[in-house]
Amino acid sequence: MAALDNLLLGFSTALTFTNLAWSLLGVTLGTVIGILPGIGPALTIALLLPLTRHLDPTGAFIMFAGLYYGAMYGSSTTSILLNTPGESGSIITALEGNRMAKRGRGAAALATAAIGSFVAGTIGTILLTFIAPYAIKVALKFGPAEYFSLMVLAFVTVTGLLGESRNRGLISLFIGLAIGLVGIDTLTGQARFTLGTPQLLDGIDIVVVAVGLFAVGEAFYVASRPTLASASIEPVKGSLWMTAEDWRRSWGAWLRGTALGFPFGALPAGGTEIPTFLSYSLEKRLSKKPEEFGKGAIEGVAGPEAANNAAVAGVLVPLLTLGLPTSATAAIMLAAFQQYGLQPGPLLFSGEGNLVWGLIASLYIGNVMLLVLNLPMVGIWVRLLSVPSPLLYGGILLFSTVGVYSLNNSIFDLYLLLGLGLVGFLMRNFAIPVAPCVIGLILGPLAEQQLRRALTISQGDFSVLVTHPISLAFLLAAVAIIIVPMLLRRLFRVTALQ
Amino acid sequence: MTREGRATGELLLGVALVIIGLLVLAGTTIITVAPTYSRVGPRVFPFAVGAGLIVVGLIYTIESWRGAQTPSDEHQVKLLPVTLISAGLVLDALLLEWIGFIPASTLLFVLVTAGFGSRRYLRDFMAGLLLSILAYLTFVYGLGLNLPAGVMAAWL
Repeated sequence: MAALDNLLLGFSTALTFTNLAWSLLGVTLGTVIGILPGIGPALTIALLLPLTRHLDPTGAFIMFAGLYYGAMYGSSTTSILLNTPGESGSIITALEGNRMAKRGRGAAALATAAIGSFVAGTIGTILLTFIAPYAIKVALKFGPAEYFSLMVLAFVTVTGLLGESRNRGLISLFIGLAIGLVGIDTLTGQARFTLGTPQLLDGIDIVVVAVGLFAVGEAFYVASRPTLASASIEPVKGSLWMTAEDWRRSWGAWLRGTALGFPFGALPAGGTEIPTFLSYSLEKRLSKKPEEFGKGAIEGVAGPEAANNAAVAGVLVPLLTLGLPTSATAAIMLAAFQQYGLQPGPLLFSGEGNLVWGLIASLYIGNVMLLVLNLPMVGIWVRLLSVPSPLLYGGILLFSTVGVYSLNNSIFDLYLLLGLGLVGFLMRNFAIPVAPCVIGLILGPLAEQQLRRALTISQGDFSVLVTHPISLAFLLAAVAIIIVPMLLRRLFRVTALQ
Repeated sequence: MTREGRATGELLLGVALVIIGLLVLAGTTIITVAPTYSRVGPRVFPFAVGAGLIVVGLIYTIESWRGAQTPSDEHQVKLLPVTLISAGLVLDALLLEWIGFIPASTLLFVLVTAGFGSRRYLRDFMAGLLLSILAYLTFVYGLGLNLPAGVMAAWL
């Protein structure tokens, strides 16, 4: 098995002292930012980009991946004890988990979330290990036309499935695409949309956009609503050892959650939220005690928590093998690859095998570290929840300015940060999701490159997009995703009228 | 936010998106195109993005004209906090390279905490100062970043 050989090679990289230290740093930071409201993995990795520019890329990516995993573990703690999800993937956990905590079963909820995350994270990583080599073989068949159509499909899915309204998702996507236009055109060297400003020739850095939208915009939003009640923290009550009944009710939910989460992350279907919703409704339907749902059913914590962790492992498949990000965090990680001059895809696996397989192996290790960090040591992290929010946001904005300023040592970027923060504030006010904007910003220029390459090869003939069968399939899938829900809605309306 | 305020805001947002789309189209026409790239040059993609912005902006405007579509939230929106935090960022940008990272960041920190409704100015000042010093020492001496020392250059 080639995958096993590669994995062994990966472990030899991941188990060095320095890389273990990076992994530990990543999972610890991830747990902390997962627990703290107002700061997530996309923002944190964006802030770390300028700081890690001179580090060894293997160590940096081991840290980033650990951070992404860790944030999912940490956010479940906040959902359960504070009823405020730390990340969007934990919204559902807050439903049942917080009820459990209120009924004095907080410890059991934390335990099923942490063990479920471990089970799902480990199975997800195993799937990643064995699917990645096949995904690369498929990716090798892709030319520019196929890549372009795949990106179009990704654009459709990230806007259509995130958020409640597709048009709002599209607005966000097009804002991101428009920001991505600014700067020198990579193929011809022409300046575009720079308004004669030399600072804009290199384009608007994704770090400034992500930090502006996620940190500054979020700070504006929370600060402008003083009546956003700060929820009370539930103390951790009960035993961290789950009872036999807890185990019996949890394990099936963990496995089903994993089965839902991984494909949703791996297909360009975007995000960790959808599979958690699906897992929740599935568990509710399968449960022998559906009446407990809404009052603190343990399956309602176990399933969605497994689903969001498995989705994170799934997101790494298209990111590493195709260079296709399907979540905001993955988009920032793609920017990190670009920062080191690396291009995810088949070439990364053949040229930087140590990095990729070391990264994958580190995920197994990180999961074990996270289980230890989040179960026996949960009491330590819970204290983070009592940091007063003015100090928390003061700190977030301070570090935001450090990260953005050190990109180019440029004051101009700080003004840009404020501007984008105001854009993010507007978007939050009108419930426009932010993630499609970040994905559009990073994928837009890549999609343009692939399109123009495809059209150069075909000498300007657009039909190349539909005569290549794989490309056609992607485009048809994109159209289907737009049209099918509309048709279904119309159909239901008609039958409802009759 | 009130329902009426929200509906007006949505209309304005929709119109703004259309205007931005038109500006992108206008900007597209001034991109110089070398004759060899006449077919699929640097204009094609910006044109599509501009057109897309106009379409989604129009749909949004029409949908909000028919009735507010944003899920309403009951919270009152105050703009003073936004102003305070913005002021913090502007002052940071103005002062950073002049008085240095530590004082500029402390000022930013205090203005943000004030924006979040804190009235414990001394605690916030001390916390901001401590965090700024720690961040400066870590990033400059630990990670080799280049942050302006400013007026504190003599001590650092």
